[in-house]
Formats: sequence, C-alpha cells, structure tokens
Amino acid sequence: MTDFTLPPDLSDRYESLADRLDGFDDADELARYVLDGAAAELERGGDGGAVAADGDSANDDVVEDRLEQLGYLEK
Amino acid sequence: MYVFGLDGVPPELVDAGIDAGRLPNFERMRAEGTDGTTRSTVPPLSMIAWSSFATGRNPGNHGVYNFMLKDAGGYDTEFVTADTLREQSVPVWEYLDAEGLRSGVMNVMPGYPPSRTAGFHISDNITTPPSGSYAYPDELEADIEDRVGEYDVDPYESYDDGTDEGNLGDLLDTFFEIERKRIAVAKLLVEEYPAAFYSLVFSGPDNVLHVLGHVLNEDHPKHDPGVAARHRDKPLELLELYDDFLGWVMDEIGDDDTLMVLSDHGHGPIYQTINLNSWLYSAGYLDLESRPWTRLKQFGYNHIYDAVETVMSELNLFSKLKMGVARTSGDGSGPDLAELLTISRKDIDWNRTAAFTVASGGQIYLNTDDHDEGAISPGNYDEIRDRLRDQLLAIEHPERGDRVIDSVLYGEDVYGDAFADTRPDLVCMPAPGYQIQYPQTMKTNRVFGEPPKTGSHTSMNEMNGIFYAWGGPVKNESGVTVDLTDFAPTACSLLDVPVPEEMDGDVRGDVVDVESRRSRYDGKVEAKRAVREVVGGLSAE
Repeated sequence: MTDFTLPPDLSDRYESLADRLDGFDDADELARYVLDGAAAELERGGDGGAVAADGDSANDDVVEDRLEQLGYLEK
Repeated sequence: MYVFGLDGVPPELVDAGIDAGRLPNFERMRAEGTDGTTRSTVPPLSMIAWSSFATGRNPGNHGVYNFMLKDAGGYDTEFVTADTLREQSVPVWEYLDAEGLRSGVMNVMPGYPPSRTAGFHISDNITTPPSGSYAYPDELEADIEDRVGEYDVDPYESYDDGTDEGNLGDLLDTFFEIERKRIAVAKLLVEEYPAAFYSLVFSGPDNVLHVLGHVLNEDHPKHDPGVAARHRDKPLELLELYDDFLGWVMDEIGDDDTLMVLSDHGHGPIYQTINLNSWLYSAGYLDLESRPWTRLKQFGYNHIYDAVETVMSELNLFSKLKMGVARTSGDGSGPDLAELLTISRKDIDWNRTAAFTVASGGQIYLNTDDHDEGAISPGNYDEIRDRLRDQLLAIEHPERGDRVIDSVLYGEDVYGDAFADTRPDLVCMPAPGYQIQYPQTMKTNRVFGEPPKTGSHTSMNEMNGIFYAWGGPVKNESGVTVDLTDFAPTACSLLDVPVPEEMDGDVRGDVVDVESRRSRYDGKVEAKRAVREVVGGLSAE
C-alpha cells in the first residue's frame, strides 16, 4: 500500500472533519476513505448521486391517490 | 443474509397453511430453524413499520410517524419519501455500504427515490411515481423489463373494498399476476445481482387481505357465505407461491447464509371507521371557520352529500369525480377544487381548535402555543390532554354499544423525544374491528362510517406478524418475539459489521449464533453521501 501525506492546509481541515465525523480516528483515515469512495464511484460510472437524479421526485398526487386506494386516506 | 418481507401476513394464516401441509418450506424453517412473531410499531402501519425495520430505530428515533408528517409548529403536512427517511435517519444498507458491503433492496417502504448505495435498490409501491426511475442502477430496470416484463409500480387501479364480487375476482387475479412477476424479479436479483444483504418485500398479502376482510370473517356485516366459499382460500394460495420461492432460496443459499422471513404487522376485519376530526368537532375540541362557504360545505356534507354520492355512484361517476377533484389541488395551474369542495384543514378555525389529527391511524396533536395559531400553554397542557384522553376512551358506538378505542397513549411514552417537534401528543389504538380515519369529506354530524376496505391492521390484534429464520447461524428455537427494530442490528452483526450506536433494536443472539459489537460511525455514512453528491455532480456535468 502506498502511503500518502496530506498537505498541511488539507491535513488541518481533514483533522477537524475527522474529529466531527463519527467513525474516523484521524485525518489520514478520513482522506483515504474519501479518496477510495470517490474512486469507487467513478469506477461505477453513471451519475453516482446519493439520491435520484434531478427531476426524480415523488409526486404528492400519486401518493395521495394510492393511500386513498389502500384505505389510509379519504378525500 | 436474505430477508424477505411478506407485508401484512398474520401468524395464524401461516400456521393454518402448515397444519394443512400446504407450506412445506415454512414447515421446514419451523422444524430446523427459529419461528415466532414480529412486534409491529404503534400504530401498525406499513410506512412506520418498514421504516423501523430499515433503520433499526423506533418511530420516535427516525421520525416517520405516518404516511404523512405534520410540519413542526404548523398545520401543513408532507408525504414521507425515501428522502425523508434518509434526512432523519440512516437505513441499514447505508451503514453496510459505509463498511464496504453491497445491499439489495426491493419494495421497502419508503423507497423512492431509490438509494444509490453499492448493490441495487428497487423502490416501493406507494412513493414511486409512474414515470419515475424505480430501480438503481439504471440497467437493472431495463434488465427486469427485458427478462421478466413490466414491473408494475402502480398496482392499485380499481382497488375498491372488494365487496363487488366481479371486481374482487379481477383484483385478485391482478395481484396474483403481479406477485408471480415479483417472485421472478426476486429470483433474478438473487441469482445475478450479488449482495451481502438482501431485503426484498412483497406487498401481495397486504393487498389481498385488505379486500378479503368480509370473506375471511363470518361475523363481518358484509360476509356472504357463497362469496366466501369461492375466495377464502386465496390468501393461502398466495402463500403457496412464496413458499415455493422460499424453497428455491433454501436450495440456492450457502451453508453459512441466513434466511429470514417476516411480516410488518398482521391483518383483521374492519367493521366501522371513526372519523376522529368529526368526533373532535362534536366534542368541542375542533372548530370550523364561520365564513359562509365553509358553513355551506358543512351543510352540504351533512345533508346533501349522501344523496349525490348515491346517484353518482349508480352512474359510476362518483369515484371519477373525487379523483378529479383531488387531482386539481396544489399544482397552481387552476382552481383548487379540493379546497373549494372538501372540508380541508384550511376550513379549520385554528384559534378555536384545541386538538386535531392530520392522518389516519389515531394520532392526535394538541394545538400548543408553539403552533402558528395555538393557544395551549405548558401550564394547561396536561389538564387538557388528560381530559381529552378520558373522553376518547369513553367513546361508544351508538348502535353496537361497545367502546371503540382500547387505549390512548401519550406521545412521549410511545415515541420518545428525538423528533418531539413533529410528534403526536396522543396515540389512540382502536378496538378490534375499528379503523380511525381522517376523511376530508368531513361530515361533522357523523362520527362513524363504512370502512374503505373490509380488512386492515389497526388494533392490538394486528400488532404481530410472522417471523421465521433458517440457515447456518440460526438456532433451533420456537415462539420468539422479534421487534422490527431488531433486524437491522442483527443483520450488521451477522455480516461482521459494528452495530451503529444509533440503532434501538437488539442483536438477537437467541435467534442466531453471532457476536456483536457496537460503534458510532454515522460520519462514514455522511462522508459517503458527500462523495456521491460530488462525483454524481461531476458525472452529470
């Protein structure tokens, strides 16, 4: 495994983030996790977003209709 | 780990199937593994229940109290989506993803938009719009359509109360066909889309049992022995499909794998509904605006609505009119007919209202002074709430004479304080056979009415679902009670991942032979989400 050293300015920021984010012992662990995750997302291709693409939002009217059809809501 | 959800299956239905020798694979799981029941959420509604299953948290700790949530300090509501759950909590597949494991999810409510964690995610029947992309990754959707056929995300067309036998037969045929396809999809996923954790839910049992309450229960007012003779076997026939599928899974999985089957609640007959806002109105806790249009609507609903409904129903126009009215609301493109014609929250005089409900299920909010027009102060909160609670417990059905609400629970006792700003103040659990509703077409002089479905899950009688476990790590036990919050932490432990401290559920060492450790690593989930946002944005550009 190749070690890497964060530049001092980034190291300070990542150290601060590692303190705030549960699950990371130090800046190096967080930086490695972020880089590894970014590479994995790029390898997967596609949009890789955490949520659906823009425009893919739930439709309240559709949900309302279905809840009524299921008997959980009456208009 | 393979977890299959059969929405709404009551334990006694599987027991009957095993006793009749018709569910050999359930019987094998019982003989060689662990069986028992699940304990649902309060109230036992699928959106709340599956949210607890997915997150390992109690409703008060994921904040999904119903299909729709009230704004903090206000009176508006919004429907729950997968984004709501992600914003307020963390599904187990995101923790597994943070630890480098792939998950496969199908039809776990709320499922839209589908998660883009490693593995695959197919959204659910309630929150997925017809035009939305229901699967991630995108090629999975194409694969399903090519190899299985259309994946119906909108299966509730013509879904009435089941008392018209002709339509009932068509509904059952449709639901069986959908479930055959879903099983084919599940086989495709298990065979060709590898994951460490599968969580695939089938809605068929709940869909079918909603329209068979009068068929399965001889005491139901709409029970007809002839209709019952022709359709009462359908639930078991449906379970036979799943039993065959489970047998196939048992042959497929490895010696060290775990198979679990659960339902999120039971099912029972519904005889009557209680319109909670109408009762609150009649008891003086809720008032309507005195403006002429509201009073006119109120008069219309109380004195004219039934006649119009009868005539239009005979002309087969009533349901179309209601749908038409509903669909004109809220998009800003024309007159808001729903608001114009129905008694909505906008007709409530909030300055003169002490208590109200915003959804079905029996959850009541007090109009406390942290609301826009609320007046109940901390000093008189307990007195008003306790008086209301006593009156709710005393409600009797005018003809049947029975008490209709079994228990009224304090919100903080049921849900804790994590999402106190949007938490109901009281939760009513109806007596068996009753369903607590919230119709906008509110007849203020009528508290009780006909149920929209003859079967449902509302009372303590429907709080338990099925639980079966089988496979290498599974012990040979019987009669266990598993909370829905126990699945996620148990899955983490079986996959050798720390159980997040934020999960409320227990690792069920009495069901599986496993060691567990707890840790706090929400930051890894947060980092993964941020990375996906950035990479997704780059890719989109």
